[in-house]
Amino acid sequence: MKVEERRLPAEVYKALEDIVGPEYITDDPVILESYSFVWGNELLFGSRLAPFRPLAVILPGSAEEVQAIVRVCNRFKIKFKAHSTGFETTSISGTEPFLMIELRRLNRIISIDEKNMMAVVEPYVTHAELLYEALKRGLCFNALGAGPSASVVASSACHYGAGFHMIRSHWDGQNLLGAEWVLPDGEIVRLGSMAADAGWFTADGPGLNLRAVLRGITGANGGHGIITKVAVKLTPWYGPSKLKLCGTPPLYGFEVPENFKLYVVAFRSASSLVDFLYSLQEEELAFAAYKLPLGAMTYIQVTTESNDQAWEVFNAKKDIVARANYSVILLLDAISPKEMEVKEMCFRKLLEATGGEILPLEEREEKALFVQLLTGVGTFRESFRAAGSFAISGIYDTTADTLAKMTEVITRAVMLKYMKEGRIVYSEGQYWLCPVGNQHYHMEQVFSYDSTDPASIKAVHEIIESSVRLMIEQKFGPHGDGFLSFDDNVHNIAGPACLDYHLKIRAIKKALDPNLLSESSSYVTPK
Amino acid sequence: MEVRGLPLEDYKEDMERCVRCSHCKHVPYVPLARVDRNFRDVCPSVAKFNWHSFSGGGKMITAYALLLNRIDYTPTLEKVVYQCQMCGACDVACKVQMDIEPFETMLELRARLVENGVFPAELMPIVDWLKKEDNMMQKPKAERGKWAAGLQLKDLSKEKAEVAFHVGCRFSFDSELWQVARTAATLLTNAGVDVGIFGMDETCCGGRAYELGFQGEFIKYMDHNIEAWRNAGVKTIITPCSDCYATFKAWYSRYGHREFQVLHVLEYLERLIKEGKIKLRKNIPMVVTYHDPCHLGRLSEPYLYSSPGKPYITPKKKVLGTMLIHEPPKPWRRGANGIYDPPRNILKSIPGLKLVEMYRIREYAWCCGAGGGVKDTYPDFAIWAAKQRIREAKAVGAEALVTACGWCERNFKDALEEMDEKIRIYDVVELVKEAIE
Amino acid sequence: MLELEEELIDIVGAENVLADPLVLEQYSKDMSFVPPMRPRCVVKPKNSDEIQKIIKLANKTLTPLVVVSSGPPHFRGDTVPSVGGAVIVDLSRMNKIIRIDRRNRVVLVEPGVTFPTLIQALAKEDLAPLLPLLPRSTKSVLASALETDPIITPKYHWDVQDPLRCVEVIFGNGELFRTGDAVGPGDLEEQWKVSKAQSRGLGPANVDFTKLIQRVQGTLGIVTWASIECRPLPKAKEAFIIPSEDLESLIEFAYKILWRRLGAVCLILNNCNFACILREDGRSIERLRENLPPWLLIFTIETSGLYPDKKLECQRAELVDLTRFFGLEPLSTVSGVSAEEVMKLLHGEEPSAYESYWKLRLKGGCQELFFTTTLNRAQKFVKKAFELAGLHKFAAKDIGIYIQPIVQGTSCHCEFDLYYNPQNPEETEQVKNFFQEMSRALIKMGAFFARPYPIVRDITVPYIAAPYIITSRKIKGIFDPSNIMNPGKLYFV
Repeated sequence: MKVEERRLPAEVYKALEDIVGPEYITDDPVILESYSFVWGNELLFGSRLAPFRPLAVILPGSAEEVQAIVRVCNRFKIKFKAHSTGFETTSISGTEPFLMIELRRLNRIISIDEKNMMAVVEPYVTHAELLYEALKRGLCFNALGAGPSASVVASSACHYGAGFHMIRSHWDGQNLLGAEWVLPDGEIVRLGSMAADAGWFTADGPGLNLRAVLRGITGANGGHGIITKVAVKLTPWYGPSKLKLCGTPPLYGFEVPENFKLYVVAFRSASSLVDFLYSLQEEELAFAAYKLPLGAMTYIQVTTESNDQAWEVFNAKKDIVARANYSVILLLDAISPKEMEVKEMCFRKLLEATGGEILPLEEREEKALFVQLLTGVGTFRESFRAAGSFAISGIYDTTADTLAKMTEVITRAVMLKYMKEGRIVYSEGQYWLCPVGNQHYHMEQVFSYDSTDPASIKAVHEIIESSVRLMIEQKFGPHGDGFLSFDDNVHNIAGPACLDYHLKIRAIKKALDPNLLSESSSYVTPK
Repeated sequence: MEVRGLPLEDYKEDMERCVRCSHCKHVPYVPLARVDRNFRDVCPSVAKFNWHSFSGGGKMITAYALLLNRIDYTPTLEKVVYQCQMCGACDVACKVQMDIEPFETMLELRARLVENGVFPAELMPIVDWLKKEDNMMQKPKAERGKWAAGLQLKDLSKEKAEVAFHVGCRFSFDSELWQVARTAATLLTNAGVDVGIFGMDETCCGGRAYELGFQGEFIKYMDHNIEAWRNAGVKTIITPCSDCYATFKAWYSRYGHREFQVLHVLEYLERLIKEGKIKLRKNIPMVVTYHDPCHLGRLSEPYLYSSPGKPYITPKKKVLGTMLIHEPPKPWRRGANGIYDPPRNILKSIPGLKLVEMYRIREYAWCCGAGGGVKDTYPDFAIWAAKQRIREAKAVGAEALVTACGWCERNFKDALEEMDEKIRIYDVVELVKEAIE
Repeated sequence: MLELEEELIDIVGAENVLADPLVLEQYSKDMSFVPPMRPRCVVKPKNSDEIQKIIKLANKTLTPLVVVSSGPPHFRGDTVPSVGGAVIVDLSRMNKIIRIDRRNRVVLVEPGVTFPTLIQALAKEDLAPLLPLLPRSTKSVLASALETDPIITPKYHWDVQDPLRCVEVIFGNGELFRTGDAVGPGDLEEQWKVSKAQSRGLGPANVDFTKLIQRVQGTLGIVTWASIECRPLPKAKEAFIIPSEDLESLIEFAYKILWRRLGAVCLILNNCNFACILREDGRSIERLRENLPPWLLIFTIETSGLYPDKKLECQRAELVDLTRFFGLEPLSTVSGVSAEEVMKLLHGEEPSAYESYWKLRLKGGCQELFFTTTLNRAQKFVKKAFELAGLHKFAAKDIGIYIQPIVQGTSCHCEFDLYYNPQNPEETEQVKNFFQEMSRALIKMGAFFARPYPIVRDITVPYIAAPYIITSRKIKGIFDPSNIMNPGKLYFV
């Protein structure tokens, strides 16, 4: 496989080496290979290995070193891209030559303020680490859809931020309480209270809110600089500070605490499921709740050790699979038995009103699902282990009614054809729908594809393109607000129909990055 | 018949299914709940060298790049592949969520490098000595049986016995550790076990050669040992060496050899203690922590499905469109079935001893640093890893770090010489001996 | 008649362009100490079309525009022009409640909608607004949300942006835009057809345009409608007043309540502000104030949906346990004031709440000093405030204090209301000096003036890091390249 030759000029390499020392910079092709590979790349390049490598990879040890590196890039007009734990195309790949700035050495939990329910962390702190530290203090943090290894900085400031207990914890982007931001020109901006050196407690202001520019519903994916610290809101946790570990690898679990109750509930239709979620949101009962993307297959995958076992269970539980196409998983919590009693009463009343049926769960399943809801461990089983890879056709954030409608339209108009051709795996009702706080809803219509089959990869492109257009034609909205985009395609299609939002974002990009050095294939390209 | 492992190409699909999630770098994210954040790393290579290439996933990608002819056999490639203890922690962490084989891929990657003459120069004399003197310690084989001087043990080269006590290269030639082997052998004979040794005629198990990528050498020793045991009428192999244990249990079974019962001496001692045949009377008031050797733990799970001479080839098929399954179902090795409890049970039955657990234990234990040839090829790295482990032992309040592997014990002792820490290093067998007297 | 006025008349009609000196006098100043500046005229548009034309004209003629949505009195200086020749854009004619969506719990309002109107309209739809603390009757709901006035129900305050969701805005460059999921495609009617409700206030895409337009004192554009979050109308309610001699106990207790996300209303007032809220005139305020404990936490339990009474019972039991733990007592009456009465006032159920503005009842004048901090830091600011009051011989009893947990308790709005008689020049001068001194002192101690209104601008701006200001100016330059939108505000020239 031919790799496009890209080299960092020696002078630039030396200048960068002067900042971090020889141990922390390399342009060796062997090392660079591991920075050219990620799932999703096959959609762009036909292979998970991109046809080019970064110019070099550098590991700064502080925000000051990041700043110095960015200044060197400005001096020599070298594009750069920050990377932490991220493992999507948007986190690693870029089409133009760039210096990869890996933030692995910035891995401190700087502080956890138990009283004010917040934490300050650096980019290489993962969701799982922050979660476990928070649990010790009666707090927790969102379990991200991307799993427990994902960076807190990435989800709260740079990428997206959807997770499994958003009904209680909200969106990672909305939980931002501060950020330290190295701009593309090398200037450091601190948001909110830190802009006035008043401490870490709010990201907003002073005056004009640069937090609004840092990210919207989606982040800039490294396209307008590098975030070296964030402060994030933690969620109250009413469970034990130490969870009881059980199970053996791979199916580790936690004992479900006494004051928590986990259910999987099946509904006969999308509309009754949606009605249930609306009411659940208003009743304020749940710590976690969302529609299982693949119905029973989601929890079968999450709660089994291997695909082999999942297949066995799937065949043994065919009746449940059939009933669970539209099903919700939820976790109720309470501080007292009395409170749980009241919550259960409300829950059962809601089931009555919407025709929900509680599905039986084995103890093993319950423990593994609890882990999934709290940490996101298990997500990979349904997305990657099961299928090799997955993609998203419809994706948006708005009312649940709109999203349910949208999935039906996309299924009929786009997905069915490819299902019949066998180029993807999808079935009706296959989408993740999750309440976000008591506000809106998030939805991802997921399907699997074979990452090694060109016909399957082509199908993905066609599906996404069709979905993007259909979402605009049918007046639903811009596909994922562009966060999964690796070029401006979504913006070019959606923007003109949506008040040219993309032109404003391009203008912001140009204002912040006049030399166009912050690699922004996954943000906007300033035309 | 020269049999090799699966060619590297056969792991291409696994490489392609890596998602680059970095789970392979850390303790699996659920047991991470009990781990102090300072000890969250599980892969010594990436913890020390930082570049993603050094992680399990990074090596999968490196192997993939090699297959696609994107990279050449360079000194950096050699470092990426050999600055690794082959401890298998990445494999355990990855397989919590994925059905792929990082460790097996890494084994074949090493074999590929060796085939192309690329490996650390330090290995050359080691392999030469192995070929000439049948051991990994660069010592004359004539000295191999000296550890057993004075012990009245059957000579299996001349006699038959039920049990072969295989001490391994480290215990054979490292005189500081002889007392572990001698104690173990004595305990077995005192318990009436029909045990014999090959003494000077004992050869290397071949395990280290296997993990270094010298698969031909491994097969030679495997074949030799199997034949020798058959000839001696042996039914059970007992060893105090965790490396040998994993070799016999896992790597030999990978090639279809499952006819012998393989036990670590601690498994047997646990049995004897339970049956009352060994009585631990003496009080040892000490706070200890137990280090799970990789080869006694996660790497020791046997292969259950291969036939003699043929490594297992997994028939796969796709169901539901893209889901890969195996028919028959593949019994995955994920570290759950290693030997973790017998050493702990033994320690708990010693009067006065208090066992505290480190953060990284069992299938997600931190490697001592000596494995994969690193002790010889990158000794500083081996010592660095051992120091991390000693610090972890101190962090949980232990006065002694106890293990069940000669390589671990050696590496910890060497590391301690460079540290200001005060902590004692023991093999479990040594404490058993102390508790008996 | 000047050309500009003629063009404005063409847009809005003659009756909606006001140049009478008496009218202009009213817009030239407010209750704060910002220097008065007479506007050129006042224009009153009716819809976004007219606003867009006004802005385009302003760009053409480089005419500064100052937006006003609420009726007087104003307190913060943001509606007083900072430059000469400004045109006031008064949005009071735009006073429609466009739509109420019960299912998604949002209401769409125009700028001229005030709280009394909104409260009544929502109640009919089984909804209640998320209210700030007793806004004045002329206060615009939309403006309150744009300014991020803190709401008194911290449980529902997920983010500083709340309760504001989407807005329609005409930027300073004349472009019409809608934020969040209101961006489109399609107009509002088309969006409603696919069941959208303008309920997602984030984005679109990589910029949170709603947040961008908040707190900027009209320096980026003019908002023509907003969607605002509501909550279900409570079916069962109970209110409590928790008195304390010291602030610290209440703060510790509040932290626990916030961690539990218990109840609805949760705020702390000192005796002065509590009395101002409850009584109508100076003398009765003073009498009540004397009989009150120094600090009072107002807390309500409000439940709706299924089994509201059982939910209330449960929360009440927990409240009692918690107060006991902190050595406090949840009372239904304090000094003759019933908690029920307080709750009705706070929910706008008492018409008397709107007859006069509570901040003017004690002495006729009030200078607000507020900033963002955390609950555990609030104590030190209170101490400093009283210390400085002593130095300035300002009567400590005339300092009203309001501490409002925000963003679900991760920070708080800390407000000092300095009551004075504006008819008394000495008192006025005294409070002016005291205010400036206190602002300087508190900002040095770490008080974060997140909303640098003109009254504190010169004091706070030097504390803002230069890169922040430089970057903000770049953003301003995109949306208001001609700098016609309320020039001189924030840290813009």
